[in-house]
This record gives sequence, structure tokens and C-alpha cells, in this order.
Amino acid sequence: MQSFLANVNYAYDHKYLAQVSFRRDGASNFGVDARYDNFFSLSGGWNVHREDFFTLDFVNQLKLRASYGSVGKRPEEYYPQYFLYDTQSYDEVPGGIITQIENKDLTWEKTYTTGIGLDLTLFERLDISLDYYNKNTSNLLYEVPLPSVTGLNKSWQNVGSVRNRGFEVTVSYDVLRDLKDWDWSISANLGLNRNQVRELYGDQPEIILTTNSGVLDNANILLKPGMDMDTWYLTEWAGVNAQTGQPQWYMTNDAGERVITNDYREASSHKVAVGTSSPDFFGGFSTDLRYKNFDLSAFFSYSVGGKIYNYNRIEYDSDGAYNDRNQMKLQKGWNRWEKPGDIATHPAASYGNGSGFNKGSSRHLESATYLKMKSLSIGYNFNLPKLHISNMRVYFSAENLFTITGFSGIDPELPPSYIAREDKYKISGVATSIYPQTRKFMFGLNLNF
Amino acid sequence: MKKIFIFIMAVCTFTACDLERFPYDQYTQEQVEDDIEILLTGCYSRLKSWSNNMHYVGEFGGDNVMKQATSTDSWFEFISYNHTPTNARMKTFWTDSYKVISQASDIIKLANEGNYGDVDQLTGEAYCLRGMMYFYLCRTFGRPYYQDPETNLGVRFVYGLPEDMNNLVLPDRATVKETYEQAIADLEKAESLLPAGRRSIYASKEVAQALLSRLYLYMSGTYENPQTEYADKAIHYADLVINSGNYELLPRENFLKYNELEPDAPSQTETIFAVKRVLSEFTSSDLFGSIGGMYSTIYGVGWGEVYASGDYLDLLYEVENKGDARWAFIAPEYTSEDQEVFRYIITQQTDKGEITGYTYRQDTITGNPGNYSVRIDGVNYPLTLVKEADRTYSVNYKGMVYTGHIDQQMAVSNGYPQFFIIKCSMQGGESQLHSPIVIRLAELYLNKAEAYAKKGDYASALQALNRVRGRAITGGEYESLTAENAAERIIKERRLELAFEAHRTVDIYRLGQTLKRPYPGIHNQLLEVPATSNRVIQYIPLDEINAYPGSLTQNP
Repeated sequence: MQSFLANVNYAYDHKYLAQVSFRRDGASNFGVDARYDNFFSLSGGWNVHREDFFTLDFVNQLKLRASYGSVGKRPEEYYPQYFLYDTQSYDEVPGGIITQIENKDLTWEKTYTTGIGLDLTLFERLDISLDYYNKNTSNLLYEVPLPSVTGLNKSWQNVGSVRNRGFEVTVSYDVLRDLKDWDWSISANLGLNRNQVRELYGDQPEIILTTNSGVLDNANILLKPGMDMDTWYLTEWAGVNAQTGQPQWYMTNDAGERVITNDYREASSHKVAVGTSSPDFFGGFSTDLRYKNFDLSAFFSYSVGGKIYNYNRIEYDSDGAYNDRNQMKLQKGWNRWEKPGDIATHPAASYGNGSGFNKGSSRHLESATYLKMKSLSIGYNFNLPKLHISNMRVYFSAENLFTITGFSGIDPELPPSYIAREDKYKISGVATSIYPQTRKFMFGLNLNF
Repeated sequence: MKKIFIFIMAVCTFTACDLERFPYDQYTQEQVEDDIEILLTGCYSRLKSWSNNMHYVGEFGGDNVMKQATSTDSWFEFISYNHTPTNARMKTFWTDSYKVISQASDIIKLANEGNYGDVDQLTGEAYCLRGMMYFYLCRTFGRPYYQDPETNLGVRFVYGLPEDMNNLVLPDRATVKETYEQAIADLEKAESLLPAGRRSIYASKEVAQALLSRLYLYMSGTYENPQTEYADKAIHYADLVINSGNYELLPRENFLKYNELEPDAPSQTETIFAVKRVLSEFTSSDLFGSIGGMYSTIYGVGWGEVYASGDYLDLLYEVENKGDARWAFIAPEYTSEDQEVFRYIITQQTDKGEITGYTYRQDTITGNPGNYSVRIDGVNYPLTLVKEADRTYSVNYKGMVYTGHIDQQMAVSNGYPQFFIIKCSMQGGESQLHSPIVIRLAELYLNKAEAYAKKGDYASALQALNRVRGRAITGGEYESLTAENAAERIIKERRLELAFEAHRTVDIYRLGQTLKRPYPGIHNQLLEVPATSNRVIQYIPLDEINAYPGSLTQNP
């Protein structure tokens, strides 16, 4: 990669702040004709509270900020723009098989961001920070699936454009301060982001992607202008037939209506968009408390909204299909059909049934909402001047104490999972078998001499 | 200050570096155009992955195999007949086939344009591979030839990488008839370009001719309704290979060890084309995923979950004293205890006498030779001798007569005795190494027998059939073939001989027969699949239909 960068900062009278930067980058993993692109940013800030006309005493800081600029992104692969032939041997003679078509015009993905923000401090106790942003990403870099009849699987293209808009607020408040024995402050933040596909390349009406999530099933993601980029595209589950205990799905009949069917094959050729893995909003909150020599601090994080595709349930909640692996116990709110008239979440179990009861559908979408207590720390400070120890702190701390969630899998906060078919780690909204976050308890001692 | 600044800026702008970078573990266009042999080798190498899925879809839908439990692998759909359009193996099969087709088409284009030495050899091999791919695609995704080949859909034709990927619009599937015509054209072209000679793991004139023999046999209809002009062609091409002098049926002693021979070993005179696998391509865990790895566990390698079916074993037992050479490919796994049992298949019924399934039992025997009894659920039942040579006995239990064998107790998995299949294992003595056979000489004799029988020439059919049967069963040749027994005998011999070589699924349906599996296994034992069923062929992979620029009709 090769870059040229210039950046200028300016401040006048501690009141007016401005910044301008410009850069030109070129990278080896773009098409021959499109290696270089220019990026810039401008931002300004105004410390209103320092103005002479500003006389509100209880407002300690009032700063307005605005910015506009662009950044570029490169693809994760090193050689996405060339014709590529995989090396494979036959009888120990090396050969090559076509795998990627060239794209001479492959270029930088560009994101233009507009942001405005406000920082406010009141009564020397309350800090509020508000930010709004609008990001328009164009020339989105994507590995587009190609029809295999051409002999190729995929090609890298600048696919389309996406818009992300969002809002973040951080608040912190010193509840108790300047008291001899007490100090207490709390803070909280919240973020929300709305994502929308704006256009796809070549005027395609939609692109259907696979997540390659697991051996047995492949959840699809739908890219369609006007919709969220992480929209699930799945066979729609219609519940359990109360009279027969059989699973049901929806299909679209010739008249275009959604009707119930027992045939998974039929239903799986009429997939629909069912929710998204993007959360509605998320954030965290924390507290810091001191009483005399005790101190306590705790931190929580939360996320509300979004749906996880729990792939694990296809193998471990299989209604009896896979009798060679452990099966999940029925979670709270789940029940299994036993006799006609039962309204149940799970169909009748059948030993070794190969009929497709448990095949992937919106049945396996679960809410990703959670609240986690991430850390807790309690300590006591000793003053021992006689032992020449200036400070000794004994503490107990814990991490990942608990998670409150309705999700039936291991962890609703999904880490990147390993996709064997692509040989990489990706976050795809699909829950597979992962190592859970460990809960830790620690006791410690700090000594300062 | 300003001057230094400008100077630094100037230096920066003039020292540009070259941003051209190439991969070191993949070929680029320039390297490939210098040496298109790389592309041809690449096509062959793709057959390795292709041959696994070709085997599963060709064999697992038939009645020679049984599975002991449900599996998460997508080939389980071929056994359960619960096909879905999202089958991962069918997607790989489709992708692999078209990669070979597309690259073979490019080789043909490039070889004719450039100056590459032996153009005929290169293009001949490319045509042969392309024809083979179209043939196998059509038999997997297209209905049997005797059923309306002009309206049923085959597959798409591709003639190399498209020029303009961004504005691609491709037409829908061609008909079965057109697909066969394309395959024939490619194979005939290959036949004309390639020299004769046994190459075994690469295409040659005889490979194209052998495939044409099978292709025309598939076109020759059912026994009840034969198309004799295609039967003639099947015979014609089979004879070209048989009379070429380059191939010979292995004598019986070598046939017993067929699976251990490498396909290109000098003594391997029967294999016409096989996809060569070598040990250096595998780590030990990869061998678990090979074809043999599902059929057996050898030296601790292999899952050993798919066994020879009860029906197939019955066919082998027809010749006493295990005289049928094809027993050599079945390796029953015994327990380590020295325990003799009576092993038989019992019919499971409801109280009203409706049959619900079949399962194996291995019950302990008591008494002395000549006076055996079997202990079933705590009660002794007398055993009646049926055939001394194979220790075949029968027992009268709950009103039904069951025939079985006294034998060492076999190890079971999920209750099923493990009749391992080793036909796809032990190449060169390596546990699960195997080069899948695409076509071999024995099949050509069977093709001739079937084609002659369809023409009504039972004398010639008998001659061809007995070449195969006599090799497998010493003195087991048939005396005669008549209109009443020819079909049954020829079908049976083909089933016995070509078992576990990816023929059976197609062989049942292309002759208009119905699949019946009244033997133990995890499959639905009461399910019968007629040749008219929609499930006789596979769904086009859904991902392909989604990514297709145009409309691609799905199979119903």
C-alpha cells in the first residue's frame, strides 16, 4: 500500500477549532485501473461556553461539533482483482483450476460520514454527550456469488451502496462528590444504528447470500434496496399442527397467498425475509462508589433487538432425528406435542426420523436481547504508615457474572465463528458451537511501598 | 521552513513504489497461458472431489447398501429419499462438473488458437472430460432416457468463460435428448482425436468409446420397450474396446484383489478409466471422508457406517460355499469373543400382522451339530438344516419361518451387524485409499448382454453375460437365456458385479423398475420408489437457481 497524507489543525482563542486532512492511497489489491483514490475530512468545533455572550453559570461546558469526511476500505483478500487458478494436483502432477475472474476496475470502498455532536457539562456534575451520524458507503466491496455454470464461484465487485444512520448518547453523573466519606458516580451510554441497502450493482433487484454456517444448513441473507443489510431470508415456520403434532411451514400458492404446508421442500422454495440480526439499540452502564476506604465498581452491557439464527438447534434440538449426539432440554416456554389438541412449540419427537422436522427455518430465529453484568470490583484500602507501606488495597473482582437473556444458545453476544468452507472467521448472526465466555473470580492484593 | 517543507513534499511525491503484487500459491492468467497443460491437469484434479459425490448419489439411492443410523451428512438424503434443493453435496457436484466443463471448453479454445504442440491430444482429452461431465450431470439431474427425452429437462451447455460477466443472461436448461446429443458429440470428437492405448487414469480413445457404449445403453430403453438402434450402438462401441487388444478381464485370482491394485499398475488390465488418488494427498483424517471410509473401518481409519444390504448378501449366498468371487469385497466384522450365533433377519409386525420393518438378530445357539437349537427371548427353538455348505438353517418362530446362518458373532453398530464393504479401500495396502473407477471392461460385457437381450439375440447375450459370470463363479455360467429369464439374470449379474461402483441407483430407474428395500437399515423399509417418481433424480441446487442470471427451471 502506498499513501500520501496531510493534516492541519487550527485553534483560535480556545473557542473555535477546525481541522482539515487530505490523503491519497493506493493499494495492490485493487484493479489495475483503479488503484488510487482520494480521501479527506473536515471538522469544526465551537466552545460556546467560552463566548462572552454566554452567561449561564450552571453550564460548565457547551461544545458543538460537526464533521464531514471520507474513508476508504480494502478487501480482506490479497488478490481479488486477478484471474486466479487454484493449484491442485493429479497423480502428483500440479494443475490449476479456475476459481476467480478478474476485475480490472475493482476499487476502494468509500464511506462519507456526516456527524454532529454536542458535549454538555452542567452543575459540574452532569456530563452529556450526544452524537448523530449519517454514513453513506458506496462501491461496497463484496464477494458476489456467480452461477457455477460458468465454472466460477465468485468474483469481487464494488457491489452497491449502503447507508448507516445512528445516534449515540453518553451520560455521566456525579451523584455524590466532595463529601468526606462518599463518592459516587454513575454513567450510561446508548447507541442505535439503522442500516439500509441503497442500491445493488447492475440494477439487480436483490442478491441472496449464504452464510455457510454449518454442515447441515445454510441460512440465507437477503440484500435488497430499502432493507437492512443483515436481513434473514428463510423458510417460514408455521408452528406445530395441534391435531397431528407434525411440523408446518408456509409456502406461497399459485394465487400468491401464504398457506400452510407439511412439505418442507415446498416451503423452502418460498423463502421470505424474516427479521434481521441487527439490534434495535445497545449500550452499557456502570457505577463507581466509594465509602471511606471501601470502593465498589460495576459495569453492565446490554443489547436489545435483533435475531440470532441458532444453527446449533438443528443438531441439538432435532426432535429425535439425531440420536448420536446430546439433545437440548426444553427451555422455559417450550413444550413438546403429545396428544391431539396440544398447542406446542415442538413437534412430536420421532426416533431417528429422517423426514426433515428439524430443518432450518424461522423456527430457529431467537431474540438476541441480553443484559450482562460484565464486571464487578470491590476493594478496601489500608493505610499503614507504620509499616512504610504507602497504600495496600485488598480486592475481590469478578468478570462475566451473569447474563439475562431469552436466547437458548451459549452466548447471545456472538463472537466471529469459523466458516470452514471459506477458511475464515466471520460474524454472521449465526450461532454455532463456540467456547463460552468464562466467568472469573479473582482475589488480589496491591501494595505500594 | 517553508522550503524544507516543499522539499519533503516533493521527495514524497516522486518516490512511488510499484504496487503490482502477485500470489505465490495460485496461478495467474499469464502463467496459465504459457502452459495450458496446467489447465488440463487442473480438470483431472477436479474429478477427485467430483468422484466422491458421483459415487454417493449413484450408489446410496440403490438397494445394495444400508445405513445403521441417521447421519448429518447430506448424502443421507439419497438414502432417505428426503431430497432437498439445499443439499450441499449436490451443490459441490454441480460446481465441480461445471468447472471441468468450463475449463475444458477454454482448453479447446486456447489450444486451437495458440501454438501448443500436440493440439489433438489436449483437445481430445478436454472433449472426453466434457462429454463425461455432461453425461453424469444428465443422469443425476435429468430423468431416465426412456421417459420423454424431448420434454424432460437436462442441463445447461457452457462453452467456456463468458466474455461479459456483468451483463450475463443465460438460457434455461436443454432437454435430456439435447444433453445426450451434446455428450455424444463431445465423446465422438474425443474418440477421433485421441490415440488408442491404455492410460487408465487419463482419457484415451477407448475411454470415450466405453462411455459411448454406456451412454447408448442408457438410451436403449427398457426390456419391455427397447430402442434397438441404440442397443446396436452400445454393442458396437463395447466391441471396439474389447477388440482393441488393450484391455483384458482380470483373471479370478487378481479380481479377488481388484481393490488393492492401483488403476495404472501394469497388471491392472481391466480398468478403463479411474480417478487416481495418491496417499500424499491425504492426511489420515481425510481418509475418513473418502468413499471407503464410510463403508468400513480398516486399521482404525474409517467410520464404517454403511454396510452391504441383506438383499445383496442374499444374492451372494445364491452360490454355495461363498463361491461367488464378489464375496472378496465384503468383510464382516466379528467380535473378539469366540461365540457362535444364529444370525437371521426377522420381520417386525403389528399385532394385526401388518409388516412394519425388518431387523437382524444374532441369537445364541445350543446343542450339537445335527441337533442345534436357537435361544430366542429365553426359549429354545429347533433349527432345521437347509444347506450344509454355508451353514444355512431355518427356524420356525411365531408362525414365520426365518432362514439364517450359523456363524461367529458379528460386531454391531446401532444393532446392525457390520458387513463392511472393502471394494473402495486398501489401494496399495493403504487403509482407505481408493481411486474411484469410472468405467471398466466387465461393464462393457454386461452392456453387450443387455443390448443383445433387448434385440432378442439371446445367444450373443448369453456369451457376453457368461464372460462376467464365469470369471466370478467358477463353473457358474448359465446354460441358456430365454425371453423369460434374460432380463432378470442380466440385471442380477450387473447388480452383483457393479455393486459399490455408483451404478445401481441409475440402473434401477432407467429400466423402469421400482426400488424396493425390504431389508434392515435406518431407511424406510416399506418405501417403494417407482421409476416415475419425482425423487428418481436430484434437485438443482437452490443456490444455483438464486445466482442464475436468467431462469433455471427446478425439477418438481
